[in-house]
Amino acid sequence: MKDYAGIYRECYRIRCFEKKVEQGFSKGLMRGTTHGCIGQEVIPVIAMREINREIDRAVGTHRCHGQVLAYEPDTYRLACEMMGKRDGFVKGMGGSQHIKTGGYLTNGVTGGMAVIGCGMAMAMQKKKSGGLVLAFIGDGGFNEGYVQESLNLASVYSVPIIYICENNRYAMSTPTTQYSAGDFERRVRALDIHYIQSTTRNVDEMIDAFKSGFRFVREQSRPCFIEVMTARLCGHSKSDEMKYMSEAEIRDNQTKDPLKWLEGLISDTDRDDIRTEIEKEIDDAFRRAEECDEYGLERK
Amino acid sequence: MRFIDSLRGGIEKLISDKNAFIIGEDIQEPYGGAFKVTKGLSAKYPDNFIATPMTEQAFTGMGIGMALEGAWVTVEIMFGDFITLTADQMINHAAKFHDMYGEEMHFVVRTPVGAYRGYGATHSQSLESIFMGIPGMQVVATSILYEPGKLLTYAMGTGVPTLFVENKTDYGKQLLIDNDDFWNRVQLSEGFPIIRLGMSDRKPDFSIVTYGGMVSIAMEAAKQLLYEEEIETEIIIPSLVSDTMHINDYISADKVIVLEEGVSEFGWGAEIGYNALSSGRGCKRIGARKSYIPAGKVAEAMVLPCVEDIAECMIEGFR
Repeated sequence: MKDYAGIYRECYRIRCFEKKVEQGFSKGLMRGTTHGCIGQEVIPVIAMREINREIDRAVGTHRCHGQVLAYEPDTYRLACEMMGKRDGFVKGMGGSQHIKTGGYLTNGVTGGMAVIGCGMAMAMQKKKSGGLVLAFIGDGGFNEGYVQESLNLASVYSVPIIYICENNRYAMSTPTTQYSAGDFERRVRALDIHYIQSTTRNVDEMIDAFKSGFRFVREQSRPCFIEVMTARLCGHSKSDEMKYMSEAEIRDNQTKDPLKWLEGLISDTDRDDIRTEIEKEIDDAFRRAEECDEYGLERK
Repeated sequence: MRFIDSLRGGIEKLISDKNAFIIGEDIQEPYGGAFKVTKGLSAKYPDNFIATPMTEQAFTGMGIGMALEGAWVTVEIMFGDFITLTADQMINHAAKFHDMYGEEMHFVVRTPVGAYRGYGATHSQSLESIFMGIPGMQVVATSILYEPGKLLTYAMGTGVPTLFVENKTDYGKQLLIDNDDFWNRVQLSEGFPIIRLGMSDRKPDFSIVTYGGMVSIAMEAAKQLLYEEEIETEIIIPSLVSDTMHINDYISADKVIVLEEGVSEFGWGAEIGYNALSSGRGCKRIGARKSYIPAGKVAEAMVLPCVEDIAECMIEGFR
């Protein structure tokens, strides 16, 4: 029996957080930009359940709030980071897409972390630490030279890295399939990398796929690439009105929302309890974050 | 001791003292690097060498990832012209991890720069000034006046991501690390050394501030000007070239010439010159003309700084 209630709690935390961030921007509590992961929450939640925080590392993308909260469910610190407050993960200096906490690290350049992750995995191989690197990428980033070069290096050096490609089918507004030759699977397999395809429309299968991918990397000390077909249920960033998606596509995505699927697997009482608990947690986190002070550059 | 032997010794010291890795193209046996800097080392320390395919941005990033895990990493970029391929990893990754996330990173990108050898437009440039204004990283330049191996191990120890430039024309040269029969060599600062070459105890007429491969040209020009025009010169050679704030404190003459091999316009000389002029000194700069570097010998010489440029600047430039 899978821990559906636990998974739902983690996913719902991320969803609520992202909704609150959207409101935070309208209220002027936050500056800069944000990249929401509404609809994709289940990917980092399932992936982070497979890592060993003592020896593994994770590198992320610009769309990182879900990854951060799945790694370290501290909504207060992430809210502070988003508001530029001193209790943030990077003391408010990083903002939405520059976050480091424990063995998780991300940055704002698409694809750039794929090669950093490859180096961390190389260090683990040299140290014989037994750890692996979880590297999130997106379908837009897949075409970056960085990702292509990283895949080659990972295969050539046989390093323990698991790439999770969150394929939401749009690089911002650009439909990925129209601008990508061939398909990801053939391109990955051509480099002798173990490829697994999965989808957020079937979370049960996704959990099994992730487990088998992590097992493969740990046992074989070889790279693995999991392509997760998914859908973003919000804009790419705060200014995106999603005019590039048809009404029908948006509606279809919403009906296949993985959170709705999870809600179907738990009791109504569990669902309501989790919602109440998480909503209070998020409200508290944001209220406290508003009260937190900012740093200048004196933190150095 | 030859420049290249000191450098190779520094790399070997890193491997034997630290958890060090050398990453790059053709650095392994039987090649030993395009300029033979690592010749012989990969056979001795196979586990510490990571030979790579031609993927500069990826293996630079791989080195950064290893450094984040505590390794001491040297990446060799075959020609300084190709540091453009490392730029995103250096500027948007390594420098940010150090400055923003507070990561101590023992990470150096070594690369040969410079012209005068007919390699042409994309194998001759001195592009390091592009990186000098980037917070969170540093640019270090070798010269024949200080052991490059010691400089490399020192730079690596600082924990700051470093671009480390070596001049191609220096590899085979003997180091000048003691006084010779002409020059009085003084190390003016600890840490990253600033070296002064002086002629006497008198206040010199000119200070030439320069680095890297230009040191040899400055020395030749200074000697010539002393014999032909009785002009006395000191030469100031910093090694941490991305820190221009303090160099002015070491200048003794009223007239300063900043000499660099890279294009003068928007170059290092503008920073040194600004500080010199702000302190009431006169200052002129000499560097490459704003042109690609031609392969032909005559045209290449016309683009690059030379002894005559310095002579002309000293005799005519400050009138």
